[in-house]
Amino acid sequence: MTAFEPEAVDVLVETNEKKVAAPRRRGELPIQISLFAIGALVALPIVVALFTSVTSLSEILRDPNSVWSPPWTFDNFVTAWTATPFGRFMVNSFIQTGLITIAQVLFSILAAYAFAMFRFPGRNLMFAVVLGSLMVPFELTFIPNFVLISNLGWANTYQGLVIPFLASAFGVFMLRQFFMALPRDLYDAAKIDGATDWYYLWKVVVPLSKGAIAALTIFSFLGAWNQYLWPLVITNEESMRTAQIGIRFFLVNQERATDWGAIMAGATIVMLPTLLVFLVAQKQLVKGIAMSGLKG
Amino acid sequence: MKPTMKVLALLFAFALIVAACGGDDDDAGDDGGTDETTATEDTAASDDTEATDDTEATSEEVVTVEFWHAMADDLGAVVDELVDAYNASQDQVVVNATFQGSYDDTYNALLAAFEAGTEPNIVQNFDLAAQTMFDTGRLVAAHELMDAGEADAFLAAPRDYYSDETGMVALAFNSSTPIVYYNAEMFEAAGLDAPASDWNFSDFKATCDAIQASGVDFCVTFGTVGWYFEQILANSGGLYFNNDNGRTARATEVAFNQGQGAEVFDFLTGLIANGQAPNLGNTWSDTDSVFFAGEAAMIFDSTSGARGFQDNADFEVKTAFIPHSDSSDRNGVVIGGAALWLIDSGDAAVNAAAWDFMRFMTTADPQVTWHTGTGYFPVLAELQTSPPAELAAFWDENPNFVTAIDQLATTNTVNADGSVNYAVLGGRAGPFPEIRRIIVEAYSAVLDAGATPQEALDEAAERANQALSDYNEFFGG
Amino acid sequence: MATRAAEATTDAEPRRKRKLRGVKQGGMKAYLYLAPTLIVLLVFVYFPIIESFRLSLNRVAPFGSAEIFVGFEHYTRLLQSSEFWNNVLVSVFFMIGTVPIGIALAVGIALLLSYPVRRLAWAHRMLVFVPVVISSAIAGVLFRWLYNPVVGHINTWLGAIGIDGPDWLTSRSTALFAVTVAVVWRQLGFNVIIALAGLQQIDDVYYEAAKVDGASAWHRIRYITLPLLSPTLLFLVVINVIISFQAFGEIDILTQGGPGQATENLVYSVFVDGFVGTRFRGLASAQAFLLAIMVIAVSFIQFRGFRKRVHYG
Repeated sequence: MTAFEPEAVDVLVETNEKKVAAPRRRGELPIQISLFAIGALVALPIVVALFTSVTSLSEILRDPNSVWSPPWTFDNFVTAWTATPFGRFMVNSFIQTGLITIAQVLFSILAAYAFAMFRFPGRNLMFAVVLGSLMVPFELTFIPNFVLISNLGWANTYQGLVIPFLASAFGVFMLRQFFMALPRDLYDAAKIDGATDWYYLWKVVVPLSKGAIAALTIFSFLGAWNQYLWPLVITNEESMRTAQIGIRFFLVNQERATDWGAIMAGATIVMLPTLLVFLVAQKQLVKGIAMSGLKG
Repeated sequence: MKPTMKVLALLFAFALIVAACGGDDDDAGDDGGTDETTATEDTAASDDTEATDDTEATSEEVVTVEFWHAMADDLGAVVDELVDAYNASQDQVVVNATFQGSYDDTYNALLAAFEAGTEPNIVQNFDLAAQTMFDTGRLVAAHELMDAGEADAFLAAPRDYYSDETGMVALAFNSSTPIVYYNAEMFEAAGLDAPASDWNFSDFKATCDAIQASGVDFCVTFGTVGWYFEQILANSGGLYFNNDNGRTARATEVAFNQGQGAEVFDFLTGLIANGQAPNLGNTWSDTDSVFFAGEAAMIFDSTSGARGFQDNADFEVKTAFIPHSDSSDRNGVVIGGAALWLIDSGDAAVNAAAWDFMRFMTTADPQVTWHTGTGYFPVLAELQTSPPAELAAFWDENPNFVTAIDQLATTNTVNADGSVNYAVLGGRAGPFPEIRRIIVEAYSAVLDAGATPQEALDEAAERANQALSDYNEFFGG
Repeated sequence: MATRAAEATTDAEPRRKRKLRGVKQGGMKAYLYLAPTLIVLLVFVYFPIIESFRLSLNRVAPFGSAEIFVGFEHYTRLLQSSEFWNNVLVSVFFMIGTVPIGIALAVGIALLLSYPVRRLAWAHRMLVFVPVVISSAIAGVLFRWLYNPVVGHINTWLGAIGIDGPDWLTSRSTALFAVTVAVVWRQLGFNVIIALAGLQQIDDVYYEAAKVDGASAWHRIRYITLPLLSPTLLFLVVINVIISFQAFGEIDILTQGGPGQATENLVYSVFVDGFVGTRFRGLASAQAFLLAIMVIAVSFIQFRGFRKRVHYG
């Protein structure tokens, strides 16, 4: 029996889908209706935003319900895109998220391998250090981190945005569980063939752990993309803002009557990448979340 | 039990271990971290010096000046227009203008930038920031660079607002006062004349009754920001801080909970509590939606919105002075808005270049462009005493732009006994931004928690005094 | 507790591997592999704990680097201050509002979703899961719009059925609720996915047996589903409590802690005192420290409370 296996969840998802295919006679309609009602309610805020984003402010102010019917227009997107550099925000977010995700996955693989495969002095203490960091609330650390990063001259830089988040204690813990479950025979065989640890890690362990690594990647990606408090305090130049902070300032800095059409257009732009990930890779994403279970 | 279940169990088990030995971990971290502290501080210190060296190197060539401003949207466009005009007018200095968000954002960004060593050469910082700006010790005061008598080209109110005992420190650039915008069609429908320039709370409420009797939802709309309380208190002759509003010595206590304070706060909160104004919270923009949507006949806002209101409303917008308390005479208003502050780059050439731009921004032509494009009033005295023909014609066509100017011009800067009227000179204190926030919360104490205006102000005063004492500790009381 | 945990660990680790793990001796090499993670954690998690504590004992100038040592004055001031206790209460109410309701909703929806409908199962799931990719900033923006007092949809809809909607975000009686709804919504997709995954772990055998015994649907849920779901529930509680204490984005965008301090939780208060307007970083750090103690204490209580009730199967 293995401790952590992506196929386990896989099977379960599919099991359920088999059930879905099986016809049921009783009670289907009420369930369908209530499920649809719940789904519609949950998706409603997003749907309202999408429709508002294509309605002009004068229509909105005349009657909010006018968003549901034409005329629709893409002017709001033009307004939002020109009024504030959303393009730049998105690029910043992609760089910030990309760097954090890559580093968290990479560093977690390395550390997890050390904890899973090596016996060394201080191992338990080090493991406690890694796990203990999960208990430290971010609120406690962000003022000193801000002072430190500022003093290093890294405010308003990509390194300032990403460096405090390069390691993931959760990632280390999760991958360690996974690596420990791999058959030891593989390792012994590789050693006999003269493989180094480095080779073994990247050629055997990592390919065998694709599922877990994918799950961690998804987690790190969503976590980094959605970051709010840190980018808010560490960037004060518009050109370095991330998408989340960009939309915040776009809303807060409305000078005259808030242009909700343009704001919802901005929100749509910011939502789009993750919504697309969701639509395209829904299954992997859900599986990843279900599998990881615990979020750091 | 299936495998993934085991995984869950395992993860919990580990979480339990962590929880159990969480305390020990912290100790371990403490021991390991002591060296860390010193190491990091060393790096920080050495980097600090580097950061200061980082400012623009200069030569005979073009000097780049970083300019931070807080003007969004349409106002920002006018700033860009002026900056472009300046850059095109000469070839020695290039001004690089960056929008930093609201006044509060700009203030926060500047303090953060001082820490990071990324401060600009010029910052547009708002009225409330004055004492903090003085205290930073990072400025080149305007009077050091001005020619003799140059300060007198400014209107007295903005000049004095941004002056310390030695002279003008910052150049007033965008000065404003709060005014009342009203929907002329609704006033007509309610059978009301234009409000008198001198109107007290009772007059205001009578107007409200007439408006609401005519079927309009709300009489007036305004955000529960601190500014209107400050301004209507000043208009009623009340002081905000002790030591003559912090003008003759550093403010050590607030005074807004005494004298006229409760009466003014009762008026403002009462408008909301009695359903004469909607409760929109601490906002500058939702109020506009209400006004534009025709749900309220009046709106308190800055004169800087004159252009925006006039252009965006699909009804005729007119303007009036703000009211004062029943128990006082009209005193007038304090200037709001912001000024340009020159931050010492340590390089005389850069400072001179920055100063050249600041001076440009406060000369006649840019001030006219600025005024007519926004509604901020021109800060130069000559533009009011002898306006160019073009400006005079503009005023004839756009009386809304004149209201703020008149409101300030008729302000009683000197009391009947010849002494300075510190109420309208405006308060000055280090933690003023914090105190404004406390006032926003005092609105809620009255509207939601059932406190009387006096109780809410007393509680606010207690917190404000704590903030003052915490702040003043660093600056010799 | 520790014993139980240790058992679980051993249980999941095949014995053979444990024996072999001792084979590898690689101190230096191990630390090389660990270095990136350890350095980041020491510098950006452990060092700040000490630094935060040091700051909390000092009055820190609103700008520049001047500090005045004040000992525990910030702590005593906070503990006597009604604002601080207000912020604590907001954090606690917020937790009570988001955690039980959020999880109950998630489990209820997951139960419905796990019902084997013939078609459209994918559509239902997609609609319910979608908030999982929504950030707190976007959640805040979307709900700010829905709650808008003038032209917001919620009050428009309420108006259509003759109800005069409240000022959701500017009235003390509704603001905290309104923010809670936004957070529960944003968290819903994640919670449902976890709950659904948990439900699908439960072997059909139990249900078949229960059916043979003639148990009703409610009994099956009460006596089979929920007990067997308890590890998942503990998960959800732990995560949601942490998230509720950290709630920031929605508050910043919806209310900035207002009206008054009705939605100002401890995190927001730390942010305001540390970064907004006139800064009082020493006081902010003291609050952060008290907040951290609360979070750790609450996690501890949860584990103790759940210990006896969680069925690891």
